[in-house]
Amino acid sequence: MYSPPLRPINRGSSCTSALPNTNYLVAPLPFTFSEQKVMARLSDPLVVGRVIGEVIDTFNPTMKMIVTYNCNKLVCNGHELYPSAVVSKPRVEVQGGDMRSFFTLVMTDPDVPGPSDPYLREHVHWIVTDIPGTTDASFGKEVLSYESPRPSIGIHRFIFVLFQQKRRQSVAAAPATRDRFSTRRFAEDNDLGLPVAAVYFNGQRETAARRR
Amino acid sequence: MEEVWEGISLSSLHQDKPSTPSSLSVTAAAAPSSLTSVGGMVLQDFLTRGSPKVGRDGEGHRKPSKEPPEPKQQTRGVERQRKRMMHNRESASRSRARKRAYMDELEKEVGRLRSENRALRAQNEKLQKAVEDQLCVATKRTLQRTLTAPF
Repeated sequence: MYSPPLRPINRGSSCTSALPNTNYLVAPLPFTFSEQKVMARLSDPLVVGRVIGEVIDTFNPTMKMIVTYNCNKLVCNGHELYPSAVVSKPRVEVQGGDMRSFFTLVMTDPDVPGPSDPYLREHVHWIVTDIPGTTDASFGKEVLSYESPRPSIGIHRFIFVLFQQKRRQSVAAAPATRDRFSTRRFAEDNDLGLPVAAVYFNGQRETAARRR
Repeated sequence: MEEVWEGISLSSLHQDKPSTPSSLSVTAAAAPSSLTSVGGMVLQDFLTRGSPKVGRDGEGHRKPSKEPPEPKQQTRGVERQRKRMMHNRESASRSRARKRAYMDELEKEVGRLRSENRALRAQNEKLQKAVEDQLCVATKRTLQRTLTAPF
């Protein structure tokens, strides 16, 4: 019997893929609400995957951000996507806020050129600002154009971070180079504060050995 | 398990070691009966620097003391091996973190889906009941009208 892969590839299905049918009418609640909150803090994929710590600081996720590639590949924390699937820019929906609030999106890769020796940390792939709330990134201003992820060494994390702007047109200019970027420094320079949402996926070379 | 390696990383190992290879041979000669040294640091120091609760692991790593035939080559080989071990350890720890993060995300998703499912089923029941009630009321009315017909 084929055993499930360690790093499953998201092929056309979303995180909310079908679960086996169950015949109960009402599912018993596994944990109390307060227990769930504690568990969320302890086993947050962003913390476990070291996104919070290496790229951004602990924040309170007030907005919901949904990142989808090619209309069907939803980005879920820690799931893997093929480079061929992420060639063109994804649809980034910002759920929450209102039309009068503006958001900045940063897509960055902290594991350049390789996760064991990331001396070029980070490599910024995309910066979009002035995204109005309840809309998506196509309504914003692309300060830095989308660069397709092409990881060559090891397994990289590609992180989407969403910040809420204090006012419109508050992001100054694109950085001079994409390498040695710092999301923290960028947020500080543009007075963006702590992130309001973050999600990441894993990516490696298209032809890398996945199921050893 | 991860806490043992907290603070110890390949980069910190590089920062602490002195650059000249001559000092390696001096340290090796000065303490022949002690543990093999890497980059001027004794293994014991290297381990205790990382974390306070290291006792059991320190003993496990003690190597038998012997005078290396070619001091410089031997220490360089040992150093390379140690670097490789560190590299491998970090890579393994990253791999474990990746696996855990994926599992946590899945568990969260499952929890979210279950509660959404429950909420939707409850809503469905409520709506169905409302529709049924409406139907009952409607039929009752029509029946009464025919019953109370004068002829």
